[in-house]
Amino acid sequence: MAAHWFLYASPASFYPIAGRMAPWFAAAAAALALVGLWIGLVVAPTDAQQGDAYRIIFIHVPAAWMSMFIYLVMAFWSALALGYNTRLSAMMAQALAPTGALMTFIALWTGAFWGRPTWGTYWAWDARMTSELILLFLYLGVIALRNGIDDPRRADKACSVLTLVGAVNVPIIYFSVKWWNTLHQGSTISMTAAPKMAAIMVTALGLMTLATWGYAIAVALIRVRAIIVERERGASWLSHLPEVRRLVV
Amino acid sequence: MSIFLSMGGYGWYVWMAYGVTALVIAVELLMLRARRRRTLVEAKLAEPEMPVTTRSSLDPAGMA
Amino acid sequence: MPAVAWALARDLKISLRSKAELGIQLLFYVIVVTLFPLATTPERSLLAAIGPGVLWVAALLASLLSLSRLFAADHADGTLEQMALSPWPLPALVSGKIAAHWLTTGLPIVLLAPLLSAQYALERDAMWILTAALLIGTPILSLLGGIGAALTLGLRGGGTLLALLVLPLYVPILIFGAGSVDAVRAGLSAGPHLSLLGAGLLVALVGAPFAAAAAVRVALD
Repeated sequence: MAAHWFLYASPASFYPIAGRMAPWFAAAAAALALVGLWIGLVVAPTDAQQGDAYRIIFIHVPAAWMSMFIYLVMAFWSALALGYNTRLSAMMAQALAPTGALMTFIALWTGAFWGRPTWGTYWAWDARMTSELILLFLYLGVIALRNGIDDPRRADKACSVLTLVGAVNVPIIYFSVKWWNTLHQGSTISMTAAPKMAAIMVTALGLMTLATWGYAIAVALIRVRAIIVERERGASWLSHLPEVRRLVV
Repeated sequence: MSIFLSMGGYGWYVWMAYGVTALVIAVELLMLRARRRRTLVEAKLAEPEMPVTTRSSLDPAGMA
Repeated sequence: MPAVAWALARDLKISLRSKAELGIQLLFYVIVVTLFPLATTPERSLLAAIGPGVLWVAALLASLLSLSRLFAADHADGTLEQMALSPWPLPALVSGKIAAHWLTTGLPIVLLAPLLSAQYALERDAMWILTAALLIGTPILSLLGGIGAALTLGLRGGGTLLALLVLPLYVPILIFGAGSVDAVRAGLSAGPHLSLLGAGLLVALVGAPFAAAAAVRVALD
């Protein structure tokens, strides 16, 4: 059983598997997004309090959830990379970071544009948005550390340590920001409180969440393939790949 | 259609949110495609050379 | 334990050889703290409101400035590798170095706090709470910062990369540290804040040396 798992831990054997999986996730993401956006933007009714501005939640909420979920998955792969010293685990963590940062940015941006019409301000230092901003800094820190270290194996281990230290800190940061926020804001409502949701809105939200999930998986698989090629440069299995053989340089 | 675009008067907010999201996703996908192309070219250029051996009947082990 | 004492004594001895450098670090802290009123207002009630925050942020920055030097000199002359190979546990040696860092960077800031509080027109009990919070919090800055310093050892981006990595981790310390003073100024108890800081210090004392030692080994490979 253990041998089975380690078989796929080789970058060379995972490369074709990732290549076969990615298009399916991409197609599913596109289809789910199309239906989800159709329902969210066209079919779902206007909200009584927030007007049509509430429709932003159909990308804000999935992006925010993804930003946190991707960090957890990154931490998982980092723990595996440190524990088993497997290259591919570290490569998966490396592949996830940019997409995680992107999701965090989308959550912050859409949150600001949801906040302005609904609560009167683009930014209000509320607990969730402030924690999200710090999460963005954590992602950017991991990416910066990866870029700053030339040796890929040292970068793997350093980024794994940093990701895990960050993972331990994320709940602490969230809790402390929430505390700070309640002390200073008092009765102000949370800036990202969603309206009471009709069933059809929940459906659209669910579809968009699944779509974002599929997107993140597809992009991570494609990116890890690029990372595998980058880091396994010179290996003979690489030069036998059809996509490399057919290149004329 | 114009009702759709105006989003009940909140058009600026909704479309800035959706628009920039679409933009950054497009940027991520384009950068990913460029990265893949670049790495395949680098892999091609880094191909291990076939070893050139010189062997003749006078020097069968190719040690000259 | 002997490992901690040895590393602490050694690092202190080395730092105290260049007292000028220690003095400059402290001077940086004082100047930054002095800049804020000049940039904002001399109005006493406003100063007292931002004072705790300014003193804390300046403490974070001062701590970061000296952190990049925590392992650099030993790494350059090979001592760090000797430490990693020695029979003494690396986490213990790293703890000693971090303790020396706090004694030369954090402790002076704690001792200056009452004086600098006067610049911000802080009331007496606010001043004491600030000092207490800095006393508990600055060691955490050194402990967490030590992890960052080990991760970025010898890298090109060096100091700024270290700051980028470590500042998000400092946020809870900042919130509870400055928040404790705000609580007292608002007439509430600073107990919860200081307890949480204390708990954070205990966790950092136990966990950070191991994380930093792991990061040192990664950097040495």
